[in-house]
Amino acid sequence: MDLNHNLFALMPVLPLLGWFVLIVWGKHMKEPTPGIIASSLVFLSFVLAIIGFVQVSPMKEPLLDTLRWDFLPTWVLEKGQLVSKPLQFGFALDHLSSIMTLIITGIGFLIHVFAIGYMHGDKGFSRFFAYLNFFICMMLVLVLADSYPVLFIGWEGVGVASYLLIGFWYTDRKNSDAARKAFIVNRIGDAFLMLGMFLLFMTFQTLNIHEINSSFGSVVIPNVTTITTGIAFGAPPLELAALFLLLGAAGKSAQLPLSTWLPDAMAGPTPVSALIHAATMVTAGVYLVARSHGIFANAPGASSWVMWIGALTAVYGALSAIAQTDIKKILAYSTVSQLGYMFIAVGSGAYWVGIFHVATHAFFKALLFLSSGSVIHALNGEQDVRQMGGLREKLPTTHIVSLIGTLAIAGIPVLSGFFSKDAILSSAFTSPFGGDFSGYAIWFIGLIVAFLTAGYMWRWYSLVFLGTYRGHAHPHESSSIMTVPLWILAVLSVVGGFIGLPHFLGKNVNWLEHFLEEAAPNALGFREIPLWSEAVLIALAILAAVGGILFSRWIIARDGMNSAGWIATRFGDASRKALFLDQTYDVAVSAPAKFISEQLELADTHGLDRGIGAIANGTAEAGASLSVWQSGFVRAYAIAVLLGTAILVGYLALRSFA
Amino acid sequence: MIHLIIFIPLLFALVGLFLRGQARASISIFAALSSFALTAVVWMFKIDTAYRTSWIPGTGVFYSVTFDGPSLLLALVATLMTSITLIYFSFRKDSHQSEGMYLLALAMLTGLLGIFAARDLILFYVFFEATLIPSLFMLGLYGRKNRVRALTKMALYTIFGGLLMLVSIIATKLYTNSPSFDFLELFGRTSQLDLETQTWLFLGFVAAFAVKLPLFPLHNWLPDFHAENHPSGVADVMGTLYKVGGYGLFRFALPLFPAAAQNLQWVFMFLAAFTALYGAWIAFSSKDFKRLLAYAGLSHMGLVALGMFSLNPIGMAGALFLLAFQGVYSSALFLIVGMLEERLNKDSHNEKTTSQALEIGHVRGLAASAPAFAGVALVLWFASIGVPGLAGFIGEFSIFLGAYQANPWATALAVSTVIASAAFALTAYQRTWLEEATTTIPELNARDWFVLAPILAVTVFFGVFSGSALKLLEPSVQAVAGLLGGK
Repeated sequence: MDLNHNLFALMPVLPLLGWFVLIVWGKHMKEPTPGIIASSLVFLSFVLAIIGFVQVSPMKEPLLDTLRWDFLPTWVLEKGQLVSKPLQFGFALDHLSSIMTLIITGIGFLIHVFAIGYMHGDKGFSRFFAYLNFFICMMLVLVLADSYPVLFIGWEGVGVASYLLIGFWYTDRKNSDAARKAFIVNRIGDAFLMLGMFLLFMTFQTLNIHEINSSFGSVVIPNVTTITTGIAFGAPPLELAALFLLLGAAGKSAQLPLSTWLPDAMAGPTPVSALIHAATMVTAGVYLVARSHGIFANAPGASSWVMWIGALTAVYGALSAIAQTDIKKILAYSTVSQLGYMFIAVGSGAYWVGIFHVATHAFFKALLFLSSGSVIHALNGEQDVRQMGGLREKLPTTHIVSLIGTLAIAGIPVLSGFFSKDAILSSAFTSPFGGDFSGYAIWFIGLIVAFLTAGYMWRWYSLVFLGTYRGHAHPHESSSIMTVPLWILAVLSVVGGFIGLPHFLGKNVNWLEHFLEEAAPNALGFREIPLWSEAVLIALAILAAVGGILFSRWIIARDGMNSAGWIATRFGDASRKALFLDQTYDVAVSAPAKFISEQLELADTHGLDRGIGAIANGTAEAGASLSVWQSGFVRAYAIAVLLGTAILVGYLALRSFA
Repeated sequence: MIHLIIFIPLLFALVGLFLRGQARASISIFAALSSFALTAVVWMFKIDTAYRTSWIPGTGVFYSVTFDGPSLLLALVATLMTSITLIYFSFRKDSHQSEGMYLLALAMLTGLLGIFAARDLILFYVFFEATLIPSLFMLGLYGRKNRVRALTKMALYTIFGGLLMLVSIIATKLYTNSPSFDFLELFGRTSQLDLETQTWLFLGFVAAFAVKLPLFPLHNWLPDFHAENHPSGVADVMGTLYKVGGYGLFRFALPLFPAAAQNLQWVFMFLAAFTALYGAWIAFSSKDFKRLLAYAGLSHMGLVALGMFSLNPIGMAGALFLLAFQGVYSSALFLIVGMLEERLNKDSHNEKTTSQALEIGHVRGLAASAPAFAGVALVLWFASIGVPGLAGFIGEFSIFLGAYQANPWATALAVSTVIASAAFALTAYQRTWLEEATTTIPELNARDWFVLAPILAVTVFFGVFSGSALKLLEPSVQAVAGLLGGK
C-alpha cells in the first residue's frame, strides 16, 4: 500500500474510530476521558490535513487514494454495447478539498475542546462526543469524495449527525421536533441533488466529479444571449442539472425557500450550533457549487439563479435577525444571511471567493457562537438577550472576543470579514452571469445587507455586554478550556482575511485565488474594472458597515436596551417571526400533506377494500365460531391448488400423448 | 447440494412434527442454519448447482433448478434471516404456545428456495403457490382477532393472480410449441411471438407478480396480512422474504416478453412510482407499527417495480439489491416491533393490550431507559429510508439512477418518496423512542444482541462494501438488459 497516496484517506477514519469507541465503551468512561479521546482524534486528523495540504500544494492534479472498491452498479454504452463500469468508492484530495479539511478539522478540534468544558456534567457527555466525531468523519467524507454518490454519503451523513445533535436533549419534544424538521427539509434538497446526479449521469455517463469537471476542457465563455432566457422546461441538460444541484445546496445551506430549519436547529447544544450550523455543515452547499465549478461556469442561467437566491436569502436572513430576542437565534439568522453572501459569490463565478467567505465566516461565526455559549453557560442557561446586559465586566474575556467577532462580521477593516465581504461585493459587481443589471442590483442588495449586518450585530453586542445587567443569575467567566479556543478563533477572525487580499493592493497578493486556480478556477468573462472604482466599492462597503453600527447605536440610545420602540411595530413583529415563512409552510404544505395522508389512510383501510373485504367479511362471519382449519378455507384452497395442478398436468400429458 | 439446500428445511420440518419443546426449536434452527451454511459454501466456492431432469414425463415439465447470481443472493438472505428469526422466536417467552411456527417457517423456506432456484415455469409456479399454504397457516393458526378476514383477502388476491399466471405459462408453451416449460427453451421462442400475444401473456405473469409485490391497486391484502399476524414478527419476516414479485418479473416476465415489456414500460413505471409514494404517504398516518411497516414495505416494492420496469441494467441491479437487503433490514424492523411488544405487552392473549403494545406513540421516550435499543432501531430505520452508508441506499439510489435514464418524470415522482419516507419514519421513531419518557423498558440483553448484531453487521457492511453482492448480480442483469435493448 502506497502510504503517500492513502495517508489522507485516514482523515475520516480516525474520528469514525472515535465514534465507535465512544458508542461502545463511552458509558463506562469518566469525564473528561471521552472528550479527550474525541478531541485528540480530531487533532490527529488535523495533522493529516496539514500533511495533505503540504503534499497537494505543488501538485496540478488531485491526489487519488488507491484503496478503491465497487460501490454502485453502473453500466455505460460504448459503441452500442453495454459495458459494466461499477462506480468506485474513492477519495481525492485537491486544493479545494484541502482547504476544507483544514477548516473542518482545525475549527472542529477547537470546538471539541471547548465542548469539554461546556458539556461538563451533562449525562450524555460521551454520547455527545461520539456524535461530534461522527459528524467530523462524515464532513470529511463529503469534501474528500471523488464522485457525487460518495459525496452524498457525507452529505446525508452530516444530516444524520445534525439530526442526532439538534435532538441531543431528546426528552424535550421541542428539540426532537426541531431535529426531525431539519432532516425532512434537508431531504427535500437531497431529492433534488439526486435528480441532479441522475441528469449528470445521463449527460456525462459518469458521476466522477473530476471527470465531469475536466470534460469541459477549458472553461467556455458564457453565451450572453442564453443568459436572459433564464430557466424553463426544456432547458439544456447542463442548466437543469445545475439548477437541481442548486436546490440540493439550498437545502443543506438553508437558502430560500428551504431556510426554515436552521433557526430551529439552535435547539442543539451551542458547540453544535458553532460547528455544524455555522462553520462547516451549512457551508456544504457552497462547497458543492464550487466543487461543480465546471458545470456552473457553463450554466450561466443557473448561475444567475444561484446569485439571486443568495441575494434574496441574504436580505431575508438579515431582516429576520434584527428583532430576534434569543442570543442564538440572532446568530442563526445571521448565518442564513451570510450563507446567502457565499451563494452570491459562487453564483457570480468567483468560486474562490465563496470558499474565502466560508473560511472567514467559520472563524468569526464559530467565535460568536462559542461566545454565546460562554454567556449562556455563565447565566445558567439563559438565552434571552433582554435578560442580559452589562456582562462586559463580569465576562471580560468573552466580551473582548465577542467584540472582535462582531466587528469582523460587520466588515470593519482590516478584520477578516472585511476582506471576504468586499471580495463578494466586487465579484457580484463584475460577474459575467446574469447581465449587467442583475450584477449591479445584487451588488446593491449586498451593500444593504452589509449595513443591516453591522446593525443587528451591534444590537446583539450591546444587549449582551453593554449597559447594566438585567437578569437574576450570578455570571462567572468560563474556565480556560473554553476561553483558549475563543482566543485562537479571535486571532483567526482578525488575521484570516489576509489570505485573500484585494487586487488593488498588488498583482500577486491574493494567495487564496492563486491557490485555488486549478481546483476551482474562476468562470471566464469577469468584467475588468479600473482600480479607482474598486477603491470606491471598498469605501462604500466600509461606509455601510460603519453606518450600520452608528445607526444601531442611535436606535438603542433612543429606544433603550429593551428596544421597546420599533420592536413593537408591525415591522418588528414580522422580523421576529422571520417574515412568516414558517407559518406559510405550515398552512400551504404541512397541513394539506397531513390531511391528504390521513384521508388516504382512511380510504385505504376502510374504503378501497369494500369489494374484496365484503366477501372476506362474509366468510369471516360464517366461520367465526370455528377455527380456520375447520372453517375449511385453507384446506379447500390447498386441495384446489393440488387438484388444479393435477388436472392441468393430466390434460397436458394426454395432449402430448395424443 | 442444491437439493439439500432446498429440501433440508422441509425434511426437518417433517421430523419436527414428532418433537415438542426445545427439541423442536433446536432441530428447526439447525435445519435453517445448515441450509444457510450450504448456500454460503455454494457462494464462496462458486459451485455450479445447475441440475435438470424430467419431472413429469411427457408433459414437458422438468425439475430444473440452479442457484445463479441473483437467486443465490436472495437464497443467502432468506436462509440467514429465517435462521435468525427462528433463534429470536425460540428466545421468546410465548414461543411454546405456538410451536407450529417453527415448522411452518421451515416449510416456507423450502418454498422460497424453490422459487429462487426453479428454472422450469411449472416448477416455479408450484413453489410460488405452495409457499402460500404455510403462510396462510401461520396467519390462520396464530394470527390475531380478524385473521380470517385478512386470510381470505390475501388468499383471494393471490389465487386470482396466480391462476392468471398459470394460464399464461401454459399458453406460452402452446403458442411457442416449445418441447418443455424450461425457461431456457422457452425464451428463444417467445421473442418470435407477435406483440399482441406477447402482451397478453406478459400481463398474465404481471398479474401474479403485481399482487405479490404488491403494486397499487392490488396491495390491499398486505396491511391486513401484517397487522393480523402473530405479534412476534416471525410471520412478518417470512412474509417479507416472500415478496418475490420483483424477482419473478426479472427472471421470467421481462426476458420472456421483451417487446411487451418495452411497450408497457411507461404505464408500469408510473404505477410503480405512484405505489412508492402512496405507501410512504399513508405510512405517515398509520397508527399501528405493523401497518406502518406494511405500507413502508409497499413503498419499497414500488421502488423495486420501478427499477425492474426501467429495463435499464442499473435500475434492475438496484431493484434486485433492494429486494435482497430489504429482506434483512425490513425484516429486522418487524423483529424490533416484536421485541418491543414482548417488553410492553403484559398479556399476549389479550387483544387490547396487544393492540396497545403495537400502537405508535402509546408509550414514549423509550430511549431514556433503553438507549442501545433505540440506537439499533434508528440505524435500521435509516437503512429502510435509504440513508447512504447503509445497505438500503445502494438499491434505492441505483433504482432511481437507472429509472431516470428511462423515464425522468416517473422517476421524479418516485424520488419524492425520499421526503415522505423520512417524514413517516422519523415521526414514528420520535413518538416511540424520544420525547418525555412515559414508561421504562429493559435494555437489549445478550440474546437480543445475538439476534440483532448480525443484522446490523450485514446492513452496514453491504452499505459500504457493496461490491461482493453486486458481483453476484452483474452477469444476469447484463444478460437481461441486453435482451431488452439496454437503454
